Amino acid sequence: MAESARSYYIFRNGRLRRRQNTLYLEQEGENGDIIRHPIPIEDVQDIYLFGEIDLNTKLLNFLAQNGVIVHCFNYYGFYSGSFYPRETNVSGHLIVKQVEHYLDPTKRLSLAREFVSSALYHIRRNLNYYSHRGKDVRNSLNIVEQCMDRIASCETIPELMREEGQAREAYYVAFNEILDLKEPFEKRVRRPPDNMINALISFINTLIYTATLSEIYVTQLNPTISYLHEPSKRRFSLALDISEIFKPLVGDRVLFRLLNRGVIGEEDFMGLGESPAVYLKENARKTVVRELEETLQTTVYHRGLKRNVSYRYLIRFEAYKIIRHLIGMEPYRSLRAWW
Amino acid sequence: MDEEFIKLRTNGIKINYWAICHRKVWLYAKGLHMEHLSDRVALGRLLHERAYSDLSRREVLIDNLIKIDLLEKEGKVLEVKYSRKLEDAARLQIAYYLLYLKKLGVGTLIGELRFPKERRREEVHLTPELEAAVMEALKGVHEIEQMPSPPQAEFTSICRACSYCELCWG
Repeated sequence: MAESARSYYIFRNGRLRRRQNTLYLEQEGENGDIIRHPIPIEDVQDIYLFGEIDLNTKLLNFLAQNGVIVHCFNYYGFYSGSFYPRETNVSGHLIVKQVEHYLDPTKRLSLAREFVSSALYHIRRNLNYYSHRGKDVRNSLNIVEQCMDRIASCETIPELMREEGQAREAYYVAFNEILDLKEPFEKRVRRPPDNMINALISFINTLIYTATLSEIYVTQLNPTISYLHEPSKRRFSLALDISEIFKPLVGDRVLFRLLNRGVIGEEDFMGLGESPAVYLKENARKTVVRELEETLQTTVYHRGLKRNVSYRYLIRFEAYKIIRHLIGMEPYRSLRAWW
Repeated sequence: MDEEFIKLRTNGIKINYWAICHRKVWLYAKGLHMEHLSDRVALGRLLHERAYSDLSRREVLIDNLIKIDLLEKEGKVLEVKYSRKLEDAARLQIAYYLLYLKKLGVGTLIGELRFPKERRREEVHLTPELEAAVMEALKGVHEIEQMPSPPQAEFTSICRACSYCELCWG
């Protein structure tokens, strides 16, 4: 994978094939013949499969060889899992350090605190933005700021999570002020989401999570050892830790933009069987993916490097900063949007 | 091979890095590799593969440690580099290969740095001074590898081009 590699999102049905050393997406044309789109493998960081795609192990081996991750989504656009190739890029030293920082409660807490601090900082930033635009979000702002003040004195992970939970609750109340909604947004519900907002949050958060996972993959960090979230068997929980930072910074802003500009609306969602649960129709999914990808490509000026870097790179840099912390180079200071 | 040399021997790349940045040596030694992400490194590799295709060259891996590019006809040790920017590091690296071969009992060969893009070449002879410099580098690398955390580094103009730039400063 080269510096310039990027994400590919495939919505159509077809087959992904390895032919010699190139990747091809094959689709059936209108008159039944096969149309082949070559994709240069060097250019691929990860692939998102939303359509129904046939593939074989020959392809998976090829993707693994080139360090390409594949994220799979089911018919309804719910994330089902990732093909995470064997790590070729490992550092025993770093894994030992990762574990050491997990086992020592003080060390673990200081990392976890940084994740929460950054998440709340970006939540406050969003609220401030809308407050300046005349939305009455004072109440939520107050609560979030109180939570931020208490982070420093949290002595355990559950305490930290409580502060985060409270702040987030207040934040979601402000959604009713920020967004022009027919029905009030009551609370965050997952698996399955029960209304339009929850469905949209879930979908966007999944995309942030997978992007973070892809960025962790290119580093030597082990994605299963985490600090804020409990390392669990089922999830790459370090990606959950790091994505906390980017959900409000990138994800929620995309959500506000899409809804407030009317790009996405009620008509873009569908129920699932009996439940009022909502999922995004395919076209809306494309719109969200496009908007989010564009946002991830947006650049900001990095003062240390003296050049512009994309939001996507900021995710990778967060991983690098954690590495620097773990190997004793400099203490981890999580991202606070400076622009 | 004397005992000290056996204890200190390492890959050529670390000797090269030692002449450029001590922190990079540490990171590389601990498995924190960044080269695979760098377009520049990929270009260098392509150049290495494609340049001088008409010469009878042979890559030889010795002791699973150093990979030497041999110019078969002339019995020279060849090292192809993308640019002369870090020439001193390249010279040290090739001198290390020469010293290694000497210790193996091959005799003293001649090295040659090649900069195909600049159409330049430079012969490298293993002088006592150069040999001492290699030994110093070997000891330096060994010391760095023992350190619990990476040595300090300053942001300099060469950092920008380094594949480790973002790991250090991002």
